[in-house]
Amino acid sequence: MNLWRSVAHGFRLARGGANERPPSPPLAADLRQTLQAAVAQQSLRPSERAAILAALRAELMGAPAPPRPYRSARHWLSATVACALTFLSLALPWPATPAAMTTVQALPAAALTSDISRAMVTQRATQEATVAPASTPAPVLALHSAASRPIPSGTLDITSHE
Amino acid sequence: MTDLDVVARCQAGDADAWGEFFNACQDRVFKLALLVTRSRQDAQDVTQETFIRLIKTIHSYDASKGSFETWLYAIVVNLGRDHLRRRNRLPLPWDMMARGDRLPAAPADQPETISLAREWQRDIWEAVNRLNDKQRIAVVLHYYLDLSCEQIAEVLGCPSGTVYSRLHYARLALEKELSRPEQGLALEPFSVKSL
Repeated sequence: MNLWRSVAHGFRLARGGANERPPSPPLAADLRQTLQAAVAQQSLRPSERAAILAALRAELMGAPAPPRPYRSARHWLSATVACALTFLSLALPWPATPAAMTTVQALPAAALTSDISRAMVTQRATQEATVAPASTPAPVLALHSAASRPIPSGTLDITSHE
Repeated sequence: MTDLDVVARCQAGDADAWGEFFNACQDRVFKLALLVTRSRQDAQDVTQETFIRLIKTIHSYDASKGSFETWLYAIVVNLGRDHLRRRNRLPLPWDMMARGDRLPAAPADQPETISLAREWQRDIWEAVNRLNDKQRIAVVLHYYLDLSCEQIAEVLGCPSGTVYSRLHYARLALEKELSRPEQGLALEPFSVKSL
């Protein structure tokens, strides 16, 4: 069917027949008017015209064409925003990523517990070393130092009375 | 001074003639490029590339082989098609294209009549943009530039029968598109010509 249609179409073309018929007038007129209206208000802006003229001048002089400036405010704005976002993303510290959290969770529980208990012991020892001498009253300290000395035989054992 | 005089001076190597030539042709070139590419940025690029190509090839132009206008339009259309092939942008909507445009004054210049006519023009613009690129470019050359089928064939570098065919199927598609019931508008009653 398509073959016959294209053969018939070819004959019509050869006769200069059907395809030369003028279109229905309203559509043709409306098409013409629409296309003209579409570009009636459109023209090159002075800056665009100047940029093209500069490129043409460079071409006539045999020089390389000048680099194209940012052609519109929208281009300039999007380029600036993109740069700013890139710098911000590099400068700002990132929150803990899921991968890092997984590493912490993947530690063996026993190792974690022993680490924590070791840390607690160390902390308690540090606290005792710094806090205990200051809070211990002087007589008790003397008593402790006396108690730490070896007791000579035949003397009274004062610790047994406490 | 006609285009041909300026072209002759350009061919003779007169640098000042290029400025005159640019001022004489830039509006035509830009508007055609805009209708072909349907993008303002691409149209600007095509305009610049057209003039640069003209500088490079003006010596090869021979007036006996065809009109200068056809030669110029062929360059614009070919560069525009290159841009279309490279990136397929969405066409500019009607409101961006015909911003502030005023329809010709009608005897009954009622706001609602003008509004309906503008809607009708928007429908036509969208229907034209739904055509494929080959049909659309043929429609633009025929209805916007008023080129005959033979001239369009010269611009596009194809047989004139192909141009007849493209225009015929483009018109069929437009008539079908514009008379669809969901458009809510019939072809005849809201015709701009009938205003």
